[in-house]
Amino acid sequence: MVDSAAGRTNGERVPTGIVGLDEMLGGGLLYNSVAVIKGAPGTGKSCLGMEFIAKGILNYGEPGLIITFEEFPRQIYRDAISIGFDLRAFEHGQQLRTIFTTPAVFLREIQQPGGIFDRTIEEISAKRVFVDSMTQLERITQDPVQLREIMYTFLNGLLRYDITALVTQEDAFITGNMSVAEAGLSYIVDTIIQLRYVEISSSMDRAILVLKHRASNHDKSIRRMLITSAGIEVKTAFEGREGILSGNPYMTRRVKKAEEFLK
Amino acid sequence: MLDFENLDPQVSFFVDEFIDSFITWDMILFFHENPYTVGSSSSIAMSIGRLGADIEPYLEKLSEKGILTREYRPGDGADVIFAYKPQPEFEKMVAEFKRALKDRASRLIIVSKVLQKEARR
Repeated sequence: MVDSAAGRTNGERVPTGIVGLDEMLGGGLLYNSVAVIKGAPGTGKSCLGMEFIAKGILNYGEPGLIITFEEFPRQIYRDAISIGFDLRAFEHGQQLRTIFTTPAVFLREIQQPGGIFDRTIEEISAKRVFVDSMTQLERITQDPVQLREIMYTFLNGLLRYDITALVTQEDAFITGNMSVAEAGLSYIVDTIIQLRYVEISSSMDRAILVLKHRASNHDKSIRRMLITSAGIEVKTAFEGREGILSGNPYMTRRVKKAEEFLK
Repeated sequence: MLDFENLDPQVSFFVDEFIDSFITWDMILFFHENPYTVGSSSSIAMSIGRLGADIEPYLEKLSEKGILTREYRPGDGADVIFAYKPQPEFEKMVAEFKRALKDRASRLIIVSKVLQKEARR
């Protein structure tokens, strides 16, 4: 069944446009689903989201909508330029809207028939949505049950439309401890992409892992991720290292022996 | 001594017509740089580092002039939501205004004009 103007069908993949990540996801995100990118500040969540939107416009002709609760659009445009994407030009070309608002206002707009969210989606025929960040919904309530209901309403509101959404959630820990389900978000979404800092030889690398991809086979490896002036590059898995998710990986016995032999 | 004649006539018209206070100045530049902002008076106030109660009358004025849209949302914690909907000509004038602010002499003239308006209130 064709569900969208772009001709996407249920069960079809929506490529993020980031080659290595699409390989990990078995072709891309699930069409008309919500995926969350989790990670500590600075791990690259927003860059990944911006590239998902930019590549949607550039490679697939799919207009995008960015909803930001924290960063001003002008900061987002500036950051996007540093990874090679001119989002402001897309906005002038009516291929993108960057809505800056508060979680409370946006939640109300999603629930409001014919509200600003509905109108924006229709005006630009958005097919991709990026929300930065779901963590800000905690500003509405601290009650975990109510927060879960709000997140559920929020995500289902997004999916009323013919869109595929990427949302971010902030991890409290820079390395080490890894939590799964703040306010149950990890259970509600279809895909979880985890970004981590990894300390190797006294420097910080970034790692990317697909933790969950509902009803889909996916790459379980932990890969190195780079943020470059031409966007995100997802490299191969961290070979010869274990304990990557701890943030302090160690060499496997085989690699250690090989290194000792070469000394 | 400032010579008001040295200010670009288009910018001068814009200031006379739209910039009636420093709060309006801040708000217009904020909306111009972040055009799809949607918010209540308190959330917009937070974004420009002002008080909600202080900016509310100016938001209402900009709505009356058709620069912002104003939508009432009934229900719990009922609120008025503002969004930026300027005409392209207005956006061009804001761009000129921004350019003028980079020039020290023009900026001083604009500041004096706004100070005079603030003093008359």
